[in-house]
Amino acid sequence: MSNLFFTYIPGTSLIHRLDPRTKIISVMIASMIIFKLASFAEMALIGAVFLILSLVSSIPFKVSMAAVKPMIVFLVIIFLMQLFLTEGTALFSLSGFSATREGLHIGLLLTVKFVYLLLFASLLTATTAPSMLTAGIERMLRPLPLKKAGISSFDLATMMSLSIHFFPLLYEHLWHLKDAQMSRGLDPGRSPFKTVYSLSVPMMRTAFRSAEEVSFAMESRCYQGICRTSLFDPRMQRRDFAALSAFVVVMWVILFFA
Amino acid sequence: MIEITTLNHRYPGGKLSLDSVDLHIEKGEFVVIAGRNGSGKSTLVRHMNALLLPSSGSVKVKGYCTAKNANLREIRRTVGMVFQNPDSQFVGMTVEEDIAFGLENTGTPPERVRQLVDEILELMELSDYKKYTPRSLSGGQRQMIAIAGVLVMEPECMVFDEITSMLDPTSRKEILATIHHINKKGTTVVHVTHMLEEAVGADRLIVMDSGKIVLEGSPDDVFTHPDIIQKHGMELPPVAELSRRLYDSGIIKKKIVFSRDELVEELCRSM
Ligand SMILES: Nc1ncnc2c1ncn2[C@@H]1O[C@H](COP(=O)(O)OP(=O)(O)OP(=O)(O)O)[C@@H](O)[C@H]1O
Ligand SMILES: [Mg+2]
Repeated sequence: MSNLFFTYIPGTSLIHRLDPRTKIISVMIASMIIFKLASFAEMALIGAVFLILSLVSSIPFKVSMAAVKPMIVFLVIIFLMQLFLTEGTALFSLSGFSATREGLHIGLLLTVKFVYLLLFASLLTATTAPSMLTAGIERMLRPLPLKKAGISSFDLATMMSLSIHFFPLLYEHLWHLKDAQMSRGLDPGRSPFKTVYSLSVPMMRTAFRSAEEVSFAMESRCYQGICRTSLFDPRMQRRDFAALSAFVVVMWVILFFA
Repeated sequence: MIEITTLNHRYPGGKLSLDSVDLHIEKGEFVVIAGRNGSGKSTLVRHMNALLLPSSGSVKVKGYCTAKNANLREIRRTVGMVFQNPDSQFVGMTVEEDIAFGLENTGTPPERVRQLVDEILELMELSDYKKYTPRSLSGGQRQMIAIAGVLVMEPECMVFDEITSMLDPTSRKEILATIHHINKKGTTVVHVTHMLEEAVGADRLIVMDSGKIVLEGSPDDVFTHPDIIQKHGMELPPVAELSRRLYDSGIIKKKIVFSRDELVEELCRSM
């Protein structure tokens, strides 16, 4: 897996310095707008907004592309489905299915929409440290009545950062395990079912054991899921409100005038 | 500091993992707990900060009973614990965040957290790595970070549960030096190990087997019972074993010697 995939690129640009909440809200607004768009002119303008933002934050384009690359198969499938399954004027036909002009239009729009979503999301993760991101999400969840569901925003934030942190560990472990089983004669090509079985049982055991260990470690450092403070203390400042308003205005203009 | 009286522990569905253990640990002491795999060392020390609660008997930390839920926070702040596997005790995504974790839990204001974290990073010579993910560092460094994460909370007592067992000899030495240093500064230390030579320089050595304390005393005293030590699945380090035999046959004057250099010196002296 490419390690540029939704990775954080440290920097000091204006966008890096914005409060995580500003960026999260902006991405949410952007996604809503993107799904409302219907013309290529509007799409082009959103593309321009993205380009300007990535220039300002000096995130190399290949970082954003790394977020799109693993999704390409999915995007192609969406495009082809729209192309062939939409009714309309036929363009050409392939073994009984005919591609339509309308299908081409909708397919292209939809594909571009998904690509834009990925691009904006990658801009968010590239300019925001994971811990800032979780701190921001924690702050946004805090006013919600999560207590009723028996969970605190601190719990949720901790769970998020734990999973970001533990997935690579478990993944690494899976590879070790696979090597170990293969050196004992396991052949994933020939017996895929047996492979899944012989890997999943020890994997589950490891996952549970590390979960127990980590919960001991957390508890012994006084973790109780309530009233935590944070090394990072995001504060909304004037520049955040300014950036957010500017972003809303630009998006509104695109939606209504383009 | 810690008073354990007739403590029994039984895991659900298992046999007794601790069998009427009595143990008092004084303030400022350096206690080493040794024993073979499954002898109950981890179970015992996990009672010291209420990660486990007694099946019967009692554990008191500074007079606070661990069985009482209201004492939990005070007890966990008094007794900090570092575990064997550095990877499964990291919670933060970077070194500095991980070290901050405990302080955040106790509600320390952000500016103060920043200051304390930076101080400890400086002290442990980890400042260069503060933005790294702990996973990208060496085993020894990772254990240093785990120690820093507990030390930063300034506990009065620190428990180390086999923290050296996954390390190479060099890092092991460094870590040992660090925990001796921590003890010199006044912190009570409980160090769990299966290597008897790590007891050198400790105030007290406790050997456990099948949930019981089988030997207890100053390391020098305990080492004069190699037969009992062996019966319980432990081994004197080779140099110590050799020096003991030399002493028994009257060749050297010193009862027990742990380093090769010292043994050479002793031999030269008696020639
Ligand atoms: N979570 C558990 N559930 C059931 N039994 C357990 C559990 N943890 C430990 N035991 C049992 O309790 C006994 C003591 O285990 P403990 O982990 O305290 O030993 P230890 O001296 O720390 O061993 P090691 O050197 O392997 O760390 C063992 O017989 C073990 O099988
Ligand atoms: Mg143990």
